Amino acid sequence: MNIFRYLTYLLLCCCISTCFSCSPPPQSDLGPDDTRGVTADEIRIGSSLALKGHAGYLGTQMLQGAMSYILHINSQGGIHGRKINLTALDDGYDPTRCLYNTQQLILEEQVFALFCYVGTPTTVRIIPLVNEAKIPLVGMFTGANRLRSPSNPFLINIRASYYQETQAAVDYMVKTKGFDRVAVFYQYDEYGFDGLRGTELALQKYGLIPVAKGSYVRGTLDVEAGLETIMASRAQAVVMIGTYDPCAKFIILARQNGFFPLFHNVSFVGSKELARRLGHDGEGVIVSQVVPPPTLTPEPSPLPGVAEYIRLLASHYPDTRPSFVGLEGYMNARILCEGIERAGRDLTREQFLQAIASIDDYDPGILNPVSFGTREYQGLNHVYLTVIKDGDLVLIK
Amino acid sequence: MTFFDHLTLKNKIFFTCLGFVLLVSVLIALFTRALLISSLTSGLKDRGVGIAQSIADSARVFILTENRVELTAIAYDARLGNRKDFVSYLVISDKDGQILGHTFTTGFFPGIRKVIRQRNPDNLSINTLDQRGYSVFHISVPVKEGIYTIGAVHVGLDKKHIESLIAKLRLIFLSFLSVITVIFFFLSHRLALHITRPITALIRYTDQITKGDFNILPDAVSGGIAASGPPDKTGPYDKEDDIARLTDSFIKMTCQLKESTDRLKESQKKYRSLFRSGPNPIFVVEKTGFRILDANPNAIELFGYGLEELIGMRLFDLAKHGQDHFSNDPGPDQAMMGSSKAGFYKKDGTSVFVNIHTSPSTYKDEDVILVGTTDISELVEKDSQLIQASKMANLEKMSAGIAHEISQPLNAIKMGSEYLCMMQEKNRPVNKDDLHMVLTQISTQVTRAAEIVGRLKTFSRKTGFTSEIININECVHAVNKIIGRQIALQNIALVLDLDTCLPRVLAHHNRIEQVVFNLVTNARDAVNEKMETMIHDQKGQILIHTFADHSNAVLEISDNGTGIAPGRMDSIFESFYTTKEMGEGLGLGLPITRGIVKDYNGTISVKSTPGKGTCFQIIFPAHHKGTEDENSCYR
Amino acid sequence: MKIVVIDDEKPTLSMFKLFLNAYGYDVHTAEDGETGLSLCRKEQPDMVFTDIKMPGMDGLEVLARIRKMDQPPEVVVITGHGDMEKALLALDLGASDFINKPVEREALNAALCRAEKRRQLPGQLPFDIKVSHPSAGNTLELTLHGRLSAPAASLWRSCLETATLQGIAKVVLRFGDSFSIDSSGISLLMEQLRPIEKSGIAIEFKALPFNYIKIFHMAGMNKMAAFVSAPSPV
Repeated sequence: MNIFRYLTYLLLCCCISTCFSCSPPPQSDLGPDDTRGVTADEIRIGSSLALKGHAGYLGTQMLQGAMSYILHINSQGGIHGRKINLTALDDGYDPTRCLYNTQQLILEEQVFALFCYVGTPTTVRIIPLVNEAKIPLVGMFTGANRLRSPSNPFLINIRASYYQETQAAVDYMVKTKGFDRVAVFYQYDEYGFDGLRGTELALQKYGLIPVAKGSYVRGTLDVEAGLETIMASRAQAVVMIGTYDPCAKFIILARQNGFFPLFHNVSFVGSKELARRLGHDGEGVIVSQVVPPPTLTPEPSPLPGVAEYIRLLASHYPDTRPSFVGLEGYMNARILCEGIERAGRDLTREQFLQAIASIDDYDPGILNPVSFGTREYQGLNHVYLTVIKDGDLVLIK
Repeated sequence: MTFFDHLTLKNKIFFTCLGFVLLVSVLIALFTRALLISSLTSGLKDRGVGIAQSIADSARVFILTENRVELTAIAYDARLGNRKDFVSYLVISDKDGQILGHTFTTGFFPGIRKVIRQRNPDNLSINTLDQRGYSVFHISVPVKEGIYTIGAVHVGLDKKHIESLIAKLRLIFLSFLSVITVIFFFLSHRLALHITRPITALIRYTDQITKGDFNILPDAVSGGIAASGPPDKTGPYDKEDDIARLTDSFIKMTCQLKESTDRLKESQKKYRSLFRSGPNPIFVVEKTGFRILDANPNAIELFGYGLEELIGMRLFDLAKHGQDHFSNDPGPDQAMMGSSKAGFYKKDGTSVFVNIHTSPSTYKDEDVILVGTTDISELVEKDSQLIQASKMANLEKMSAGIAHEISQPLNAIKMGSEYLCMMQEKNRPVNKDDLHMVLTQISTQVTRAAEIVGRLKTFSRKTGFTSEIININECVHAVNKIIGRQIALQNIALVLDLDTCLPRVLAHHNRIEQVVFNLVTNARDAVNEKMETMIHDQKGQILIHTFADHSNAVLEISDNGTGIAPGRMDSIFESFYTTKEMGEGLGLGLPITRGIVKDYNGTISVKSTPGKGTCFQIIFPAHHKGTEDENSCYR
Repeated sequence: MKIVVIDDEKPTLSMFKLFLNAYGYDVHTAEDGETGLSLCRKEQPDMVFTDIKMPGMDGLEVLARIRKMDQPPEVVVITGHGDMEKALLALDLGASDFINKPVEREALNAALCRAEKRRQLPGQLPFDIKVSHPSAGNTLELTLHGRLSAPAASLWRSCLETATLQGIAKVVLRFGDSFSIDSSGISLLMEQLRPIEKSGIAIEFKALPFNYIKIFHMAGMNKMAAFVSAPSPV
């Protein structure tokens, strides 16, 4: 008797509770059946990157590299009967502009996916949009840790991270070169901090800390203060996380001041431009890369991916010389198309993401297999150390 | 509310508590919800306004320059972090309502552009937009440059946020309430049980007791009650608990009740058995009038009447004498009244002697007197036989004296007749005067002898049972006639000091004579003993003194004999107690004397000084109702 | 002869007076012991009759006092019924005789006679036994005179020893006029007679004063001996 009564009352209470707290489930216009940006014969892709300004080389190179492949694919009839239509907007490495551009791309252009973004602060800025719109972003020319961790299914990183780059550099400096006094020169923004953090983590592994830290403001060339700090520390090596103009100036000034540490730059610096600006001061400067050198020579057997990039670049953009950045762009395009391909004809963002996730151990022809899957959303892991020699970047074996 | 009335106490408690708790909870919930909603909403609006206003400040420049890029950035920045949860959208518009920057990444909310355009950008306004797909508070804050409105900032606050918060809160609250209710359910259940189960047990036990079944053990009761208490309290529970105290009181009360009932039953049994089969006849009579209300089988048997015949008769109808014959009106507080050797008649007319003992009582709510009668006819018979025997013993004592007494007249008669014979034989003439003298003497002496014999006869006669109204002085005289001369011969002076106005008493002449005789002979013996064994300075004396004391007749017999030792005072009235040598006395005199005195409702007391003398004092109650004037005096 | 009669009973006194007067005695009466004593002292009677049971001074005391007088008169005590002990005491105290109430002529006469005889005799005679053998040879006659009392024991014994009891069939005890006895005498007599009786010899009491018979009966001598009365005096 008591049990029954108890149950009755409990039931009554539950009913009352549910009645009160019931509310209609939130409607979502976004769902697995979202086919925005996909038409019968077209897939719209959007990109906001630095095409002009002090980082314009990076964007231009990347875009051209990517476009080479895309145009090639389009010329072959597209993927599953759809051609890729890439809309690229210039944000001049300005995060605000990038935000605006991205909003336009998503809202107005109704792109299927975002592609080939350049820079840490810019990309980071549009993460909220990406999350809100649930739009995939494939390929970012940034190794920032923020984009990789915590892992975001919409952010499809392809290149290796700055942590990896700085790790490789520090390994080279400490292990190979036997340095123990390493300084860091960085851009005073998201990108620079990230690289600094990576360096510190790398040095920590050896029980070291950076002997000096110098920085400059993004968009400026005010490297003197930083240089002074680092010179005063008598560092044996300097890890530099910046863009080519300020970094070049730093190195030149250093050499002018008789400061000859081992300089290292991360890939984002724009190695070609850096080398060009440095001239013979660039001799011995190391740049870590995330893609193999985009040269056919003097490899005994050129990497097929590299070869294809050079070939396609030459056919579509004959005035542009192959570069690391361009190769990266090309890689991005390769992955993008692979994903679209794998998603099938019923292309939805969900399908696309699933397709990307399925890429495992896929070698886009550079002996650097790409794996997404369960790991952090990052494809390439390999870091290449190159050194400027005679104005060229040569791979350090 | 009949439903409510029909519930058991337990359920009443439970329902009341539960209902109350639910009511209170619901009230609290509603109140809190209202409060929350309003405060949250106002808070949200405030925040929204705050956000809008801060944006307005930073957007001012860019509105003027129509820098969409910056405005977009500002708009998105405003939605950073947890603001995203409640800021649904942010729109910066120019003064015409054209959108310059917004956060509608995936698409405009339907109708929002129209709303913005239609909004008056000059004033702060908060509106509620409930459209299909979204429900927001639309806050519009004007961006002013000086006094001119250059644009507006619109913040859309997602109601859903509030609602989800409230819903969450509500859920938490309700779950909390449910838990409380469940807990309280159990608590009130337990509480109710704790109260009602002991009460139920008590009710059960009380019913049992009412039926007369006292077979409840204290352990069972407390166990039963304790068992219904909180289950986690095993063993001796808190003595401070009211329930425990109730239990204790109940047990005590039950035990008392049981004991009282048992005692009552027992006494009832006893009484019944005593009444039914008591060896003595018992009457229940009215307090006034002495009408018989009930009689026990023995009474019926003894008196020979049937119960129906007895009921209604007055008790003293059975008696030989009227009610007034019975002595001592009992005071209202006196428990007992007794009358000894009352004479009653059986139905067939034979007489029976009983001792009456009375005590007041209540019988069927009436004040009655329980009259117990003891058939002492045999006893009376034996008594008189004993007295007779004692008389015989006394006679023995008297015989020597009597013999002597009689021999005197006999001697005179003998000598006279011998003289005459001798003169006759010798042929001598007898002097005329001498002859006369002799003959007269003979006659006189014969009379004297007859008198002595007569006295003896009287003394030895068995007394009748009826008491007479007698004068003690006469008894004293009679005894004096019998034994006076003897005592005088023993050189003991027998002095009589008799009050002529002595009240009459209800007794037997003969028996009182016995009493006097006994005491006088004892006194004589004592004096003789003194004369023989001690140095005496006075002549032996026995004083018999009678006088009136209030409404009593007092007889005192004192002597100057050897006296009685203080230690022996108590023993003198014992049967067969004697200080005389063997063969000289049985020691029955004083016991019998006392018995006789008691029979007539008198008292006997003794004072003595060893070596000096003894005084016996007997007090008889005077008999008031007599034919003669009670103040008449007599010789 | 002068007689004093002492008795608390008036009728008795008058009867005595009458009787004794009729016998020719000079009778004086007293109602109590004291008066009686003073009367005796005054009158110096030859004989005194006194009652024993009297208020005040009783008869025995009177007797004792009288016997202390010079030339004490013969005292006869008058006993009531059942006063045998007192009678013996009286004898011890020197009473010559006793008579029982109610007084019989015979007893009175016997007492008077003896008293007269005794008066004639000089003083108190000592005890004496004369042994004789009258008539037949098998009879032993013992004539007793005087006061038989305890001191006479030796005499008696010697008497009996000398008088052999051989061939004696009967022993006769003849009591003389002067014979008187007291309690110790009675005991002695009994003591002496018992063996005689046991040896089968008949015992006879002769001429025992009338008033002694009762006493002897009381002592139990009637079992041992036959009483043979002496001829009564005229």
